[in-house]
Amino acid sequence: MTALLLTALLAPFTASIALVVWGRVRPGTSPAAAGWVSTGAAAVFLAAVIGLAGSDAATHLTWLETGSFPLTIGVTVTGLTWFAALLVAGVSLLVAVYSVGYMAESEGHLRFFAELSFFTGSMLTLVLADSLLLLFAAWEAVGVASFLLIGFHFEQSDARRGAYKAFVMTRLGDLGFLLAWLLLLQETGSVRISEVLGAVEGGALSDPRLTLIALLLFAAAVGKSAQLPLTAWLPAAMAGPTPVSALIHSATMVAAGVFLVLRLFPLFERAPVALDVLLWTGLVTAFLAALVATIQVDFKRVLAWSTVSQLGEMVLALGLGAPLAAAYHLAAHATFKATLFLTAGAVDHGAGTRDLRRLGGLARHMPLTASFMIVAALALAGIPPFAGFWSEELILSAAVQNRPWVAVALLGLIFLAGFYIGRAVTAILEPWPGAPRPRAEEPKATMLTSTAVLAAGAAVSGGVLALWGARLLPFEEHAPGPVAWRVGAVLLGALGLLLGRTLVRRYGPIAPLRLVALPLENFVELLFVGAGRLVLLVAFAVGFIERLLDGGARALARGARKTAWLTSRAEDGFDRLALGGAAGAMAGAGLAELLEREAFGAGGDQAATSLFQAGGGLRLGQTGRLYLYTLGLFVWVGAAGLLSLLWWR
Amino acid sequence: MLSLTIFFPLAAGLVALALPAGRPGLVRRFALGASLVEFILAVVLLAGFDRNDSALQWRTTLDWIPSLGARYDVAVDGISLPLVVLTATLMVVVMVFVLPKHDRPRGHAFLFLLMETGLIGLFSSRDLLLFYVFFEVGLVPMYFIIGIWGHEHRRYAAIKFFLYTRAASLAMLLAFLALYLNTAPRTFSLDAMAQNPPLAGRAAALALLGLVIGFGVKLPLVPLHNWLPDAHVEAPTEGSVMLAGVQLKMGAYGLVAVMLRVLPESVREYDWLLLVVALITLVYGALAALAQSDLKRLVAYTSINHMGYVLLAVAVWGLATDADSRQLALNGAVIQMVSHGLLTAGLFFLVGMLQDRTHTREMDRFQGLLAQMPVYSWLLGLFAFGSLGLPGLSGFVAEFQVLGATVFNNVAAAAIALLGLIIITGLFIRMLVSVALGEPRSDLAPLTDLGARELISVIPLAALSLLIGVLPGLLVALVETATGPLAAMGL
Repeated sequence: MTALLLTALLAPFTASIALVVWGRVRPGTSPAAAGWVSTGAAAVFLAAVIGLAGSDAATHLTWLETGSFPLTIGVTVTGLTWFAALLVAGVSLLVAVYSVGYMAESEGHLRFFAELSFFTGSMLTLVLADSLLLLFAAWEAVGVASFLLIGFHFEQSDARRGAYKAFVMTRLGDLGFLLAWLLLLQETGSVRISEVLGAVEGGALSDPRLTLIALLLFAAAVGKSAQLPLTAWLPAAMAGPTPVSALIHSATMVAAGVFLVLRLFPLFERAPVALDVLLWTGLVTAFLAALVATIQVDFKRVLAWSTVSQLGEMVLALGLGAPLAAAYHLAAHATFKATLFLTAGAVDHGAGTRDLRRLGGLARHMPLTASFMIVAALALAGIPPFAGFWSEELILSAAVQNRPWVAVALLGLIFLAGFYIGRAVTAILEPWPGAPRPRAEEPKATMLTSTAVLAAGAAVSGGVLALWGARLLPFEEHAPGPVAWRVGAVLLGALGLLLGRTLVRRYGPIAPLRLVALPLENFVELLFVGAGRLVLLVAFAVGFIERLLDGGARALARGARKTAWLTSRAEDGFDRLALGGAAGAMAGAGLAELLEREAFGAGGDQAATSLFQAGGGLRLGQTGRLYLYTLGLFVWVGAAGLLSLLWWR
Repeated sequence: MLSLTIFFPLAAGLVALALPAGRPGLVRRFALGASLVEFILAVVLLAGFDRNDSALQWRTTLDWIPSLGARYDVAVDGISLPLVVLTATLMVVVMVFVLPKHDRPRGHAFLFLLMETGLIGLFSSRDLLLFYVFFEVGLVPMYFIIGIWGHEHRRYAAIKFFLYTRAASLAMLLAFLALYLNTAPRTFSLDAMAQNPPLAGRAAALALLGLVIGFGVKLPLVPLHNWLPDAHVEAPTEGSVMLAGVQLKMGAYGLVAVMLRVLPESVREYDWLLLVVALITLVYGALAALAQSDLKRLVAYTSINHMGYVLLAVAVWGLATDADSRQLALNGAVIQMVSHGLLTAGLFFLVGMLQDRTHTREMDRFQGLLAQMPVYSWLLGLFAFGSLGLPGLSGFVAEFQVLGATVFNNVAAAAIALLGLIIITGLFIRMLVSVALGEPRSDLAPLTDLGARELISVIPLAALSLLIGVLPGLLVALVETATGPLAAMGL
């Protein structure tokens, strides 16, 4: 079993390295071949993960023993890690297959597939890790992979900006994770997650440390899952190729924040203050992002903001103390959102744009893609029996039982989700007044097949989870909530869909909530840009101080020169100190000359000359002979040493 | 054996001077050969070092100046040996890098080899007077390297470097003398002073000030850092590499291996002050780096931040009351010295290679290098990610240990240190994005990717950083033979 586990982990990394080597040896490799290498690796590890079902394989080794701290790394198969690994493996495989078709005409496909395989390997390590250290390393590694893949079309300026934003903003959160695992190491003496959680459950930690650690961990989750205030990078990340958006920026990496909280939920459970922070962060983020999603005109940006909103719902569920609901929603969201992204890629390829205002009526040209899109949209809007319905229902039940006002807010969220996705999908698929209705055709077979499989997942995964999920995951089930709420949620989702659709059919893809949502979008952007500007401002102030430092020493230099002069005069009479006096004067005069020179802005050459002129014993050095310079310096050093000796006696 | 390692470069340097002036290629090849032999000697030292023994090894003691109680006493321990190997490694890649440069190669080779003697001698000295002499031997050549082979403002930078380091040496020497005069019988022996710290009270505080200034200028710590950007920027590439790669470690080594041993009580008394200075250094260095648009100046300023971790570790050593977190801090500090030596040297090489091609270092002048120089860009990325502490490379191993020890003792201090780290992240990513990504600029002539010689200069550094990052246990086990006793000192 351990061998199988390691096979799963190493397959993608091997593929990644093989592709890099391949690219060096044979630069002219065909895109499809490269793609199938990635796909093959993904298939191997999906098979390995499936083979691991029900096992409790684990392997550990000590990576570093520093002082008395044993830092272990290891991977383990538990219900939760297997569940997440299966999700990662499945989506990765489908996205790899899809990319074979999608990237066929793109330059640099070897780089793309090498980076994609590197990402899947890192992500798999992240979910399977049984060591906070390894989890952290993988956490950073997926950040790098995300950076590289967002910047894949590196010559485009929005790809550069997106990559920069994504890395810096997520790293801000990552550093919270760093502090958190270091603190846990101090408190529990281990980085093994099983041992850390054991210690936490045994009451090894108490407030305020516990809450602090929980909040630091949550900071990392905020960064990766694009919660407020670290949201702005996810919409910007849409500059990456669409398969990347599907895999990294909707299904797997951005959900890592939620996964982290799930993995360490026993710790969060004991920190009620932290749970409240989760609840509020999730709620505010989900609402804000849903509102902003309603005004987007780029289909990928609709999906990006929708992802932020859905992740917010998961965080909110965690804050309610309903980890099972969050885990279900994570899985459901991964399937339907990845499906939506893949259809977005198909639309982009087929019609040459993703701008809602330049689409319309595509259902006729791309019936298959259209049907996948509709299934995924229904799942997003929480319509039964599709995936989103089951998990939204669980979140709602938890809310009704714990905090009814949150349940009301959730209904609003479900309505908004229906509205924005209804608006976007209608604008793409159906004819509307003045729609450009571009010609388009269905994408390649590889792309269609993988979209179809994911769409099937979006259709049934919710139901499957509802039947068997609870047995797999180590979380308690909540009792189902009152029927009225559940029916209300479905109705509101449907109402949102219909409203969005009707609006577009009648007026086109307009943005009725623009007045509210646009300032919000700008606000999120400002959080990053503003903070960045502020830091830059301080940095430039420091740079200014740096330049002033030389000038600021001017007064000091004048004083030094006077003192040196006086000293040398006073000491002229003392034979015993003459040598030292000369040395002191030389140093002082040199210093003064230098700073003087600098202060008056002339070049430095004179200062160098004057120093050596001041020290008569060093004049020999002026001839430019290095060795004499060196010798002269040693003489001076000796003199200074002697002087100090005399002084100290 | 150790003495051979110390003085072999000096001898080789003298031979280099005697080589015919008309054959620069011969001189370069000779210097490379000498540095390779030296590297092998260093590796022999490493191979013969017993990692289960925390005593000093490869020791030689001879009478030097008996009337003063100064001895020629050299040995290596777990802190100094990695630095000796680092010095020898960097010297080899520097010599490879300068192979085709034919500007006065004899003096150049002599000065670099003389410097190597000084540096390796410094890391091996167990006698403070000897330490001081090697300190000077290590520093003085750099002054000429900047002044003779540097860029346009070289004289100014050299003189500034000279004055700062001179003042620092003086402060250090005074502190050494103060310590010396309070030993009985009079001795400069570091180990004797560590056994029985000579000073206490106010005198010790003054000596501490002397050492903090002496080592702090070289480290450098804010506000004693002003020489650094000029010296690094004006020095030739190979000079910056040695300056950042090894010379800054003279200060770092002094703080950890000398100051903690001879003045443990005062360090503990003034730990808060050291902590404040360390935090200022970390944040200020990062901010100042962020404000730069000259690539070389940017890298130079990040050194201030990176070396701030060493001072932070020293402060935590004073702050901590348990040997565990002290040792974590010291391990991190030593690894940071090695790691920074590798990563920053690599960055200086890369910036220098760009300057060789385009004669500019302005960040805004470059764009889209990934298209023209893919190997270069990926290497730049590797070193940048290493410098911002990405797991898997050496910087992370160093920084998480220092930060860990800090957070164990003072969460707020660690948070402030992380502020520096996030700024460093931002600036390296900004550099990478603006230099490597984007549409290639049309106003720069087509650039060629790195050649074999250039690759041989930087690949070993990247490989070593990766090795330490992936398998840090190799280095940590070595380092712990020395940091273990140091961590337990005075508890």
